[in-house]
Amino acid sequence: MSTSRLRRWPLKAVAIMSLTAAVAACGGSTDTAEPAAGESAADKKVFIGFANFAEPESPVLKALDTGMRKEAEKRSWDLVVLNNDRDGPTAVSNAETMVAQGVTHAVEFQGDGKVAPQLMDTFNAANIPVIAIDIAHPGAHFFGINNVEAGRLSGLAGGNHAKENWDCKPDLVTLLENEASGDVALLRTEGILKGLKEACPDLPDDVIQRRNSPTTPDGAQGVARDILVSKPDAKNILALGGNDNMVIGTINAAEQLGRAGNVFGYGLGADLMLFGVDTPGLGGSTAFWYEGYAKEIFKLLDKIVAGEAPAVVDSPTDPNAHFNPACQFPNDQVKSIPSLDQRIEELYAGDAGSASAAEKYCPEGVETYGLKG
Amino acid sequence: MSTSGIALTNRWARVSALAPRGHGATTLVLLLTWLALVVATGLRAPGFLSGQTVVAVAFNMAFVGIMVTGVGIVMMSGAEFDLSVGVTAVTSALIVAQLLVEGWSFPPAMLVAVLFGVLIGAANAWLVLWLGIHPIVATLGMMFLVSGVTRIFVDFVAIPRDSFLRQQAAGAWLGVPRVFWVMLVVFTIVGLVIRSTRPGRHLVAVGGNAQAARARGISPRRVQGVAFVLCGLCAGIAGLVLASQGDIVQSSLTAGTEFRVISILLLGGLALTGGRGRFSGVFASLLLLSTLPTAIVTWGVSSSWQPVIEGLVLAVALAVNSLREKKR
Repeated sequence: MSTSRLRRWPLKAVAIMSLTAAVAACGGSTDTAEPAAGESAADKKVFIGFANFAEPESPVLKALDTGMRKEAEKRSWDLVVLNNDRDGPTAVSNAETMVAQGVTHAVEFQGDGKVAPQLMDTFNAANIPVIAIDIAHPGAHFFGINNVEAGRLSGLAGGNHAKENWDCKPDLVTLLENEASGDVALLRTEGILKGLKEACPDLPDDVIQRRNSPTTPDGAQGVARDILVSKPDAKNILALGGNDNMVIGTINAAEQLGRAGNVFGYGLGADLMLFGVDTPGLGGSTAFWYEGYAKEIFKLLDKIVAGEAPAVVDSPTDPNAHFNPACQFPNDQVKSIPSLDQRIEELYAGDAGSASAAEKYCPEGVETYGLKG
Repeated sequence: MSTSGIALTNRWARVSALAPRGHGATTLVLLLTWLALVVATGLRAPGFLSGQTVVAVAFNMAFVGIMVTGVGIVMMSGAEFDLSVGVTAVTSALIVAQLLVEGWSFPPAMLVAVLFGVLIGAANAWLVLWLGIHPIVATLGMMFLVSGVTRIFVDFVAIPRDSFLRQQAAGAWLGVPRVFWVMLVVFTIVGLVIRSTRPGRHLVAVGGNAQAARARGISPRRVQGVAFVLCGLCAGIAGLVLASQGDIVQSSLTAGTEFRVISILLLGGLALTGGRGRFSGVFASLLLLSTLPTAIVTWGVSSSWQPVIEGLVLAVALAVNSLREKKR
């Protein structure tokens, strides 16, 4: 019996330590302590729980992480940052951790739509308002990209190039989309087609080759090569797609086939172009300005905390949802804006003001979405 | 039996004797299927029979083909699969790209990337052969480990256009991309070594019957260990090919790449249990499955139907292969 107990105690100790470590690991970094017990609901300090999409290793996630911390600091709000690790169940567990830690408001960034209702049940039970980034969560304020409008800006830029250079008669328009991305892909494609037809209303449908593609650069290259082979006589080629990878992949594929001469691409997101990927033939990309997300999210949080919460719009297709402003960004102007680190510094400095990233960095004379004036 | 009946039977026996059997038949069937696909597509769209198609298919074959070679060695040795080959290749590509960005010259950058592949292969060998973890579990774990660690450090790397890697790999020889020739050299060396050399015969012997091989003084652990290391080496080379093909390398691999590698090997006639199959069959399988997507687009089949058709062709081919195996 004693042997058994002796064995069990270390096991329990290991289990307790593991649990503690797991909670700590899931919790990422807790910047400040949770609100003191005994505070009334009215004077309860604002405590934001933010679950990031993954470890902030990519420029986009790093920018979001930094922005969230800086904005919370400016307001002297408490903040706990968690890591959803690109995984639905981890996001659910992180939501439970946030509730257990007593957050007053939650900002959720996770890509598994299937766990969204379960996650929201957890927050709703604790009466915590939620802002969901980029992926709709039922009952949460949606914040992110207006995919239709962003797609429209890219389609319009591509269409205008076709109009000015090819009299709206390109031989081929490649339009890659990732069907597995669901609504996001469909909405972006819908927008691209809308913008394209806005510039070239009589563009025949059979010129447009719309195909499913992986989101990776090598995957997109393969799909684009196959399209180009199926249209051996196409010379004036317009490359469009659901993200920068797909468009750059198409241009690379045309280069491999020795047909890059008259390819014009216009990306979506600018998450590669603005981070130094310089591909000849890439005319530009619609910039999403992820680094400005935190700023806009905190503007919404300010309203919620002040009791002026706007009605919850949880659908990314509803024009009344909260969208990050976006704009077309020509490739030849990339060098004219500061580096990402500098942009983050400028956006979140103590005296930065309320201008969004798009207001600060969109060039003059380009098409924009969500900018006042 | 009548005289004419006997004559017919004899004639059929003579014809049957001329037909290739076993793995030779697999290769022939696959090549004939490929030829039928090319001819049918060419008849529908004459533009398909062009240098453009050759280049596109060559690119389709290069990266995957090198990984197929590596996993083929592991499969042949009876150690089943190496599921970490794809992420190892991607990480090798990121390593070479990052080192080039940091100003390294190509030879040392290439060496580090390839050595990384070898290191992962050796780690897999240790997990499977010394710790006794099942190959699928061990290499799956390695896949998550490598991909997780890679993502912590890097999301993507832009490859300098003026780097030796991009400049050299961008070219072609005899109208076919250089990356294809790299794959062909790796493939041919491995195929010849397995078929015609003593170490190759040891690999086949261990894969066919490890106990019998041990009785003949061959160490299955050593042979399978070398197989994993060579697979890692192939992944490293595949990484170089991947890095040479475009402006960026990303930390994520195209979904389903590992599945594609294994499908090509099984369709090519390599036995799941090891010790049987020929690399000529695997090459024919690689050729067929790399031409199929290009042909499907030329036929004007919609994106939604493309995976259905590819899956169907694969299922039918595997079923036929399986029936033939049972007959034998």
